[in-house]
Amino acid sequence: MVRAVIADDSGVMREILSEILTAAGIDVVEAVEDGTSAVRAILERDPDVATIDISMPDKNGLEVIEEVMAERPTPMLVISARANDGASETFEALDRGAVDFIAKPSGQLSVDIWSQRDEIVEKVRAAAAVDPTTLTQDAGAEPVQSTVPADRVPDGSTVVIGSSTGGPQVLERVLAELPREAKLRILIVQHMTDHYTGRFAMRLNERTAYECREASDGDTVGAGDAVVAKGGRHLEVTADRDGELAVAHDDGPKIHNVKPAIDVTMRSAAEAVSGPLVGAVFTGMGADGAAGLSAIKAAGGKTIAQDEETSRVFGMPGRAVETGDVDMVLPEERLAEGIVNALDGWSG
Amino acid sequence: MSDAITTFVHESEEDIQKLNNALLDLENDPDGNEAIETVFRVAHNLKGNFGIMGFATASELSHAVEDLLDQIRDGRLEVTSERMDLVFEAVDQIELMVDEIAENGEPTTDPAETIESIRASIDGESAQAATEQPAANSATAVDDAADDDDGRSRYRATVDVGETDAKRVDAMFVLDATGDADAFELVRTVPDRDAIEDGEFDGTFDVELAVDADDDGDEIASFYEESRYVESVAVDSVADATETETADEMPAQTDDSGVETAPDASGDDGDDDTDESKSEDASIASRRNKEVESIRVDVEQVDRLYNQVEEMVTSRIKLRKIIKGSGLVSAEEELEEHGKITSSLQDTVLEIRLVPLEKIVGNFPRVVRDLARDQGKEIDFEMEGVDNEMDRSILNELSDPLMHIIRNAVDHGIEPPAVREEKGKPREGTIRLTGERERDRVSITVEDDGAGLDVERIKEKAVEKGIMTQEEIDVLDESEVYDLIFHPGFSTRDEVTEVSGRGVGMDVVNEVVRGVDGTINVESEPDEGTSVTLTLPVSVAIVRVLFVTIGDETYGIPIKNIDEISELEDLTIETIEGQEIITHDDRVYPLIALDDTLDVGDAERDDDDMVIRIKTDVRQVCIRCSDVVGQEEVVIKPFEGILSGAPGISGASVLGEGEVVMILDVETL
Repeated sequence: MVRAVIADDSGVMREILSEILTAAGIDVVEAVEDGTSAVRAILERDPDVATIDISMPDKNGLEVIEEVMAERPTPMLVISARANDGASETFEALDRGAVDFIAKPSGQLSVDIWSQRDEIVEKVRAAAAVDPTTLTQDAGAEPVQSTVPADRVPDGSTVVIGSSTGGPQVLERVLAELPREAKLRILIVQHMTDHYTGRFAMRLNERTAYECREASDGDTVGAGDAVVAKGGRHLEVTADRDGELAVAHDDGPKIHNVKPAIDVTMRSAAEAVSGPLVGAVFTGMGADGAAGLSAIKAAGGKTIAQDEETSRVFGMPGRAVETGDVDMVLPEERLAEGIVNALDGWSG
Repeated sequence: MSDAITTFVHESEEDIQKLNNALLDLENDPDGNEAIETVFRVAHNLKGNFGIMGFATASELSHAVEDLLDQIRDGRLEVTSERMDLVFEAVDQIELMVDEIAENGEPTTDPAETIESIRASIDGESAQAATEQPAANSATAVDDAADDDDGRSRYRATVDVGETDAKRVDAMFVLDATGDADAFELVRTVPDRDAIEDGEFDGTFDVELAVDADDDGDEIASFYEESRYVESVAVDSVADATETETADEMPAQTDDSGVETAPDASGDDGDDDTDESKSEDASIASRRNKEVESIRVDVEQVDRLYNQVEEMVTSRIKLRKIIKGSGLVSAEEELEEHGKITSSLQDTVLEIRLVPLEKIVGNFPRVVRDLARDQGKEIDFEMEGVDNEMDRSILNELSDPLMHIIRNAVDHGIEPPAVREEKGKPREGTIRLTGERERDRVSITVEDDGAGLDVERIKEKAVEKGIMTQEEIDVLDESEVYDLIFHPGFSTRDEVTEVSGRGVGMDVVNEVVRGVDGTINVESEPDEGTSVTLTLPVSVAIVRVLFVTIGDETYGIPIKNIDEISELEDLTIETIEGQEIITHDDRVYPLIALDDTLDVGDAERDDDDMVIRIKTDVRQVCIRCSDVVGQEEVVIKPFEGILSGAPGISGASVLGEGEVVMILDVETL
C-alpha cells in the first residue's frame, strides 16, 4: 500500500487530499500543517510520497524540499497555487528535487478540486513509484552547454520528445545539450497542466540555446525553434512545408487519460513530417508515447527511450521498449548525444 | 464532501477572525512586518480554500484583497483609514459569503462591486490617467507610487503585443525580459500580472518602470522596440502625475463628485453619517450572536472517554452478576467502583466541552475599532488571558453580556479625545479584557480608563425611576449604588443610542451571569475608570441539592443556600400582620409555605412538616415543606425562552431515571 504524508497549512486542503487519497486506497500516514512538522514527519515516517504546499508557516515548501532532499531523498509532489508567483515557485521546487506538482484550482473557473481527483491520485501514485535513488542525480544541476558535434545533421531535421513525471529536469538538460547549430525543429510534449506549460517553455527558452515557446494554434516551427505543447490541448503536426512545421491544437478527448498526449503529436509527426525524424520518450508513468514511437519507426524515423537506471519512473520508456520499436535505450546524460547521432549522416 | 465543507467553514471563520485582528494590528502599526505577513498569509489561505472548493466569486474577492495587501506589503500603497475601511468591508463580505456557504452550500452575495472598488484602489490611477479620467482625480495610489523612490523617475510603457492567441505567452516573455533588465525596475503592470498571464487583456498592457532620474524614456522605448514580441510601444513619463499631487494631498473626499471608480467606502465618510453608521451597526450585529457550534476534540481525550465507557460497561456486567449471586457486600463495593468510574467519565466529558474564551471574544477588537471610529474616539483595546477555557454552554451565554459590557465601556466609559485631554489624560483611552482562572472559576474583567460611574447620577436616576426612595438611597455605600445599574429598567442614558441599542441592559447581563451560576462585580473611580468583573464556573453548574416534597411534588433546593433543617413541631411559629414568622438568634424569619407559593393544591399541612432555614446572606427566610427526601449532585439546566426568569425557579434537573425536578431559586421565591 502506498504511504503518503500531506503537508499543507490549509485544513481544508489537508482534509480533501486525505479523503481523495484514502478513497483511492492510499494510506495517509500523517497530515501536518507547517514546514518543520513536514520535515519531521517525512523523515520519521519514511513515506513513499509526500505532498508539499509551497506556502506554509515557519518553513516554506521550498525549504522543506531542500532539507528532505539533503537528509533522505523522498519523492515529493508540490501543491501549487496558480495565481501570483505559483508557477515560478513550482519550477523552483522542481529544481530543488520535487518530482511533480499538482495545481490547485484557482477558483476563477468555478471548478472545485473534486473534479481533479483522478489526476491527483494518478500523480501521487506516479510519484510514489519514483525510485528515490534517481532523485539526487540532477537536482540543482546547472544545464551543461552543447557538447555534441552537429556538423553532419541534415537541415530540416525534426525531433519529437515526450515525457511525464520527472520530465522537466531531463528535458531542460537535453535541450541545453542539443547543439543550436543543428537547427533542429523540436516538438516537446510534457504532461503538464495549462498555465504552467507557458512558464515551462519560457524557462527552456532562457536556459537553452533554442528559441522555445508554448505552441499556439496555427503556429509554425522553423529551424532552431522548439515548442512545448500547451496544457489541456493535444498538439498535432498538420504540415511540413518551406522548412517549417505547421502545428494545430486539438481539443479531442484525453488519450491515456492525459492531454496533451505524446502519441497524438508523434503519430501526426510520423504522417506529416517529410525530413529526418527522431522520436524520444523520457521518464514517466503510464503508456503514452509507446504507440507514437512505433508510428515514427514505421514511417522510417529513429526512436530513443530513456533507460531504467536514470528514469525517475520507468513506465513510459519501459512500455516503449516492450514494443520492440525502440532503436536506442540511453541514460539521461547521453540522450542529447543519441538524438544527434540518430540524425548524423541521415540516409532516410 | 460535507466534511470538507464543515472544515472549510470553520477554517474560514477562524481565518476571518485572524484577518480582522491582524488588520487591526496593521492599522495601528502600518510598518509592522509581522502583522502584514500574517494578514497576507491568512488572506492567501482564504483565497486558496475558496479556490479548491470552487467558490469562484468569493475566491475572486479574496484574491482582490490579497492583491491590495500585496501592494501594501511591498510599500507601493500606504495604509490609510479609507483603504483599511475598504479591506474591512471586503472581509465583512467574505464573512457573509462564508455564512451563506454554511447555510446553503453556496454563496449568494455578488461581490462584484467590492472587487471593483478594491481594484480601483489598487490600480485606478494609471487606468484613469491613461483614459478619460480628469487628472485631478487620480487616486492617491499614483502619488504613493511616484514618490517612494528617491531620485528615480517613473515611466509608463504601453506595450502592444498584438491581439493573437499567443499574446499571453508573448506578454510573459516581455515581462520576464523587463524583470531581467538592469537599467530599470518593473514597478507594476496594468492589468496586473495575473490577469496578463491568464490572457485577460486585449493585446495591450501598461508597464510602469522606475529608472534613474537622468535617464529618459528613449531607452525604455528602444528596449521594447527591440523585442520581437512587441508590435508597438508608447512611453510616457508618470512624473506628469506629480503635478496633481498637491491637489491630491487635500483629502480625496472633498471632491467625490465625478469619480466613477472612487471606492464607496473611502469617499463619503464625511457627508453620509446616518447610512454609514446604520450599515456599520448592522455589520456589528451580524457578527454577534454567533454560538460556538462545534469544538475540536483532542483524540487522546476521546480515547480516554471510550476506555472509561468500556470500564463502566464491564463494571455493570460484574454488578449484575454479583447481585444475581446476592452477595450484597461485594455488590456495594462494586457499586462504589462504579461511582468512581462514572464521575471520572463525567469529568472527561466536561473537559471535552471546554473551549477557550477566545472563541467568543475574538471579534471584539474589530467591534471596538468600528464603534470607536463611529464615535470619533481613540481606543486601544487589549485582551489578555483569553486562552483560559470554559464550558461551551457557559461561553455561549456570555457572548452577548460581554459584548454589552464592552459597548458600555466604549459608549459611556471612554471620553472623546478632546475631553480626555482637558482632564489631562492621554487622548487614547484603553479598554482591557482579562481572563483569569482560579481553581474552578474563571473571572473575566473588562476595565477602562474612562470617566467612571457617576454615583450621584445613578442615585438620582434610581429615585426618579422609583427603584428606591431618597431615604433608602442615602444609606447605601458606593458599591451598593453600583449594584443599582443591574436593576431592571435602569439606564443612565437619556436616550438609547444607535450603537448601544438593542434594549439589552445591565439587568439582562446580570440575569444571564447569575443564570450560569456566576457573579458580577463593578468597581469604579471617577475619572479613573470602571471595571466590571464576571466570575463564572469553569464547568457546567454541578450543584448538590436537597430534595423536598410538597404534596406529591418534589423540588430541589441547592444545599449551599441552606442553613438548617428542623421539624415544624420543634419550632415556635408566631403570626405578625398575617405573616407567619420564626425567630432564630434574635432574627425574624418570614415563613414561606411551599404549597401556597407554588400553588400545590392537594398538600395537607401536618405537624411533621419540615422547615428549612435559608442562609441569611442569601435571603432571610424559612421554607415549609412536607418532607425532606435526600440529596444528590445534579446538573442544573437553566430555563430558556418563556420559562426563563420565572420567579422562584432557577432551572430543572434530570435525575437518573429521567425524572425532571425543578430547582428552587430561594432568592426570588
